Amino acid sequence: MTEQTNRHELRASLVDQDSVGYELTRVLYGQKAPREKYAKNKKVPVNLRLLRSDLALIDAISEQCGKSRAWILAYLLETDIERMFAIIANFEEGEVQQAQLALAVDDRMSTEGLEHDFKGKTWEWAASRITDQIYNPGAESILDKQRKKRP
Amino acid sequence: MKGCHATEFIKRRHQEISNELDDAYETVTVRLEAKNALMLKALSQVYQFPVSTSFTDIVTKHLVDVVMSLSDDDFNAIAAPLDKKISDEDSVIGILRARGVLPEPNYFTVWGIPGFDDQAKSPNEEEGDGE
Repeated sequence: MTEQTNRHELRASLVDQDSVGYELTRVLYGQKAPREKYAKNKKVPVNLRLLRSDLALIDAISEQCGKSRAWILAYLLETDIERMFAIIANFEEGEVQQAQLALAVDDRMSTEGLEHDFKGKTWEWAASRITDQIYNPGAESILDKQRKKRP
Repeated sequence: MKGCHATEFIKRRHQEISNELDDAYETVTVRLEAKNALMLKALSQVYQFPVSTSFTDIVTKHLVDVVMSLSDDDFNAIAAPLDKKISDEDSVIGILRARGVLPEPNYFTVWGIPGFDDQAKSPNEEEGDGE
């Protein structure tokens, strides 16, 4: 077996299929649909301090895979933000904090006159407990309770 | 120590290397969907982290996963030129080397030390040979 074949198998065995990087590669290869967007808001600039060597690598990936550096970085960062938000529900008292964050950000969107993504793509929707509706339809969800506490 | 040329020299080298480390980074602007940018701002306030520097290491780790997931052709096109670069262990190249995905470079060749080629032995091996 050649050294290159060994490295290929090593890569295949080590790759983390839950990682954001793996997800990005699948999107780049057309094996996964990119994130759907409906709202037409002006994008917001965010500054990141990155290693020049990482930027050079992103440029090489960009050239090879046909997506811009800006697109790749935005994909990574937006996926990270969604995953960070999702994991909060697993923390102690995390569901309450997640609901509060969702309500605060969606409220801010409204007060700034920004267009919301359709119902299934807002932060409030992401924080809603679907299982509540299936197993406990009459009960008030954590999101509803937090919504009532809003000033 | 005052007036010692060697201490002045090492101070200057320390400063030069610090400047080189600063040069290793670049600030770039990424444009995000408004809802994501607002959530990032809220998360950074609640969990008290600076946005600009917190993703430095995270992006490096993502890139390791990207490179690990590439097709063979793309991996060879993108990663093969990295083979001979010197890099610290926390960089993408360093992590890939630690995982055995990229080979260790021959430092004699990389540093351009004359008289050594890819087959050159390390100094320790040479010392051992002499015993």
